[in-house]
Order: sequence, then structure tokens, then C-alpha cells
Amino acid sequence: MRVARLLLALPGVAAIVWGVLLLLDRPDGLVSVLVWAGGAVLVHDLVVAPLTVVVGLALGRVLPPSTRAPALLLLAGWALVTVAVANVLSGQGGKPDNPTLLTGDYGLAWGVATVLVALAVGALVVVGVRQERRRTSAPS
Amino acid sequence: MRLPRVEDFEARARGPRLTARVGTWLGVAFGICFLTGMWSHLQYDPPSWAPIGPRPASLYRWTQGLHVATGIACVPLLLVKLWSVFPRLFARPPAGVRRLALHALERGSIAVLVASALFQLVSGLLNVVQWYPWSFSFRPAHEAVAWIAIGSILVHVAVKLPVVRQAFGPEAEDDVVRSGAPGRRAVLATALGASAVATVLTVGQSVPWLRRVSVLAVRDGTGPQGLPINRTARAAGAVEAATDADFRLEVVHGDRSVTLSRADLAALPQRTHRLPIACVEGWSRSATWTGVAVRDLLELVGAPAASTVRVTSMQTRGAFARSELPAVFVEDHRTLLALELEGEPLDLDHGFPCRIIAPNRPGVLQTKWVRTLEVRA
Repeated sequence: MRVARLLLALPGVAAIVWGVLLLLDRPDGLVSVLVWAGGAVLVHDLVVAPLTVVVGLALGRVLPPSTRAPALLLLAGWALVTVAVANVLSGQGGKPDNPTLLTGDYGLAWGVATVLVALAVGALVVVGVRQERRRTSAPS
Repeated sequence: MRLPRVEDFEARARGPRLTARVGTWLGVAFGICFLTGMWSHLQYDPPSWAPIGPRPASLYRWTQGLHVATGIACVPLLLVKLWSVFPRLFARPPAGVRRLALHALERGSIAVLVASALFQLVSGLLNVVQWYPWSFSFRPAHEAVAWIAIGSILVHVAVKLPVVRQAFGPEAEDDVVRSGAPGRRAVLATALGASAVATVLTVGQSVPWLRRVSVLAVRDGTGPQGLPINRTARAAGAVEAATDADFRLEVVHGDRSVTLSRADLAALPQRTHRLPIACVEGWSRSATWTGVAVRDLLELVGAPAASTVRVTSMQTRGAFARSELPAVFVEDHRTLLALELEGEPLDLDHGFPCRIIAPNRPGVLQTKWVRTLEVRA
């Protein structure tokens, strides 16, 4: 175990040092790199993660218990895919003189997928609510 | 109002068993991404020891398609992994100087890990759509931070190895199941599923038979003569020189040189090859190219077929107005100074009057609007 940990850590530290040296080799963009790397962490830790917790808690309150898990996971999957394709959804990038870049109708494709997910979640909610009703109205 | 504590978070799925599994998948994807990325950096400036040549012709295409696909696959995995350990952010530092120092060191290494991993994914995703809202130069920054990211991953695995081993070991008694909370396996399946969906929806730019499925791909593979463009003639500032009727290609070998008009080039023996063109941004496409083999042009100035050739473009903007064609590529008769694409004269945006096309080369080194070929050695 100790040997394995050393064999992982030593090349790891060497790679980090090498990366830092490469960064220092081009000091012109260094501040910008640090701003973007640090900014990404702050955006995640101060916005994305707390928002996930809050939305998760709120949905946990409103979604019917019996179908809560699949509904939450469906919404989580939708959000994860959305972030992974945020670059084409942003409407940024591309070049006005190059029609071969950003060729798709991304808003439409994402919109259709979003409607399908919403319908599926809606169906899960309906099923869950019905199950609740049956449970509460059933003679015990 | 107080800061939350670790025990305030109540997701049943969270815990080392989930983190270790998502982390393993993420490590594999990130590892492939790192290796394929470094392979590309090697190709841009091949050192003499690197076994880089014209065979297999599709190697660059495969590696860079994989690079972008694994990079996109990393996004959901990284987000789920961060979610699974988010409560740890609120862990209170321990008492005692030595413990505190170790704790600070571990937190610091994790900060470097998360920052470098997020930086790689964000910069890579924006580069793919050619959006540059920063002042650093993409390629060197993406390369340097890649080393920091892969190094932090190795250190992180070394630090967490006991936890990981336990997490893959026999399961302790399961926690109390709270109704309605997603379980660990379901969360893992969601993370992997989201990765797979995001990959399939975008990978069509590199995998032709998925082109219709990949509705969110950056490119659908269309363009003039059935080929996408990375940089237009206008953007490269090559329009005027490339459309000049008095265009002459110059082939130079020491004090010997020949100048050839496009008609002269077309009169030389033509070769036709089907070759892929592949961009570091992940897109690639095979096409049929016709032109004069570079080695045949060298013969006109008495240079051996295995010579390194410096290629100069007429473009006035962009970082790749010059490229070096190593001898191992020049020797291959499939390395062409192409005049035609799919049986038609090259579109201006594909490099008219003539361009380099060679097997297994990064797209940016397939120089367009060629003005001179100069034998280096």
C-alpha cells in the first residue's frame, strides 16, 4: 500500500511541477489562466452546488414519495447533459464567414429533449399522486 | 443562520462507495483525454524519437475524436463526483498543528485538482466552438494545465487509496433506506447514462454513421465539396493572393528552384487518394483528393524523396502560415499537393489553388493556399 501510494504520488507531483513550469514559461496569459481556473471553482462551489442542494430539497418536498427517485434522477440526468452541451447552446462562438461550424439547430433539439423530459417527469408525478391517493383512501 | 456541517447533508447515495466508482470512471476518461491530447501536442512538433509517420492514416483522426468525446463524457462524471463529496467542503479543520497542516495540504491539493479539471473541461468545450472569452493562448494553457490536472489526479488517488480500497471491498450493512431518496447505484447509473447521452449527441462530428443522431454536434460534416472548413480564405487573409491569375508555386532546393503555374501542376502526373482530414477540435472527414505527390515535385529540383520540406502559405493571418513536413511523410506517395477535392478544383476555402494533404496529420498542418515548398534537409 505504502509503495503503491508513493508510486502514484511521486510522478503526480512531478507532473504538477512540470505543468507549473510550462505555465510560467508563458507569463503573458498566466493571470487569465488563474482567473478562469479559480473562477470555475468559485462558480461551482458558491453557485452550482448550493443551487443543486436547494433545488433537490425543494423537489423532495413537492414530488410524491413513491415516484420521487426516478423523477429526481431524470431531472438530474437532463441537467448534466445540458451542462455538457452548454457550449453549443450558448449561442456564442462560431465565425460569421464559416457556415460549416455550429451547423445544427441546437435550441430546437434541446427544446424537444426538454419537453420530453418534462412530460416524463409529469407522468411520474401523476402516477405517484394516484398511488398516494389509493394508499390514503384504502380502508386500513 | 449558521454554516452547514457535514452531517446536515442527507442524500442516501452520497458516500465513498459512490465517489470511488464515479471517480474510477472519471479517472479512465480523463486519462484517455490526457494521453490523446499529449499525442496531439507531439504531432504539432514531432521530436525525432516519436514514432510518428503516415501509417496508420487514420490514427490522428481516432485519437482526436476520442479526445473530444472523452472530454465531453467527463463533464457529467465530474459534476456528480463533486456533488458526492460536496458536504466535505464543510468539514471542520482538526485540532493540533500537525493534523491541521496535513488537513490544509489535502484541501489545497483538492483545490488544485478541482480547479485544473474544471479549467480543462471549460476551455476545451469553448475551443470546440471557437469561442475565446479569455486572454490566454488556448493551446499552451490547455497543455500546461493538463499536466497539473493529471498530476493532481495521481496525488489524489495516492492520498485516497485506503478509502478507495475499502469502498470497493465488501459492503457494510446498508444504511437505513429513507423512502423516495435515490440510491447509490441509481445515481451512478444516471451519471454514466448522462455521459453516454452527451457523447452520443455530439460524437457525430467524428463518427460518420452517428451524424444523424448527433443533433448537438458542433459540425454535421457538411461544407463546400462535402467538407467542413476550419478557417476560411477570408479569415486567413488569403483571398487576394490565392485568386491571382499569375499565381506561381515555387519549389526550392538549395540553389535549384522551379516555378509552376496551376496549369503546370495539373499537367504533371496526378495521383488520387482517399484520406481523412482531422482537426484537433474533434471533427474529421474522409475525402478523395487529387494532386501531385510532394516527392514527385522534389524530383524536379533533384531532392531525395526522404527530405524534410518547409511549406509556406499565402495566408497573412493565423498561427499556421508555415508548416514543416517531416521526411517520413514526404516519402509517402499519398502526401499530396492537392489540386482537386472530390473531382472538382479545390474550393477557395479548402486551399485553392493548391494545398497539402497527408495521411495521419493534424488539420492545421495540412497547409492551404501553398506558395512555396522548400527542401530543408
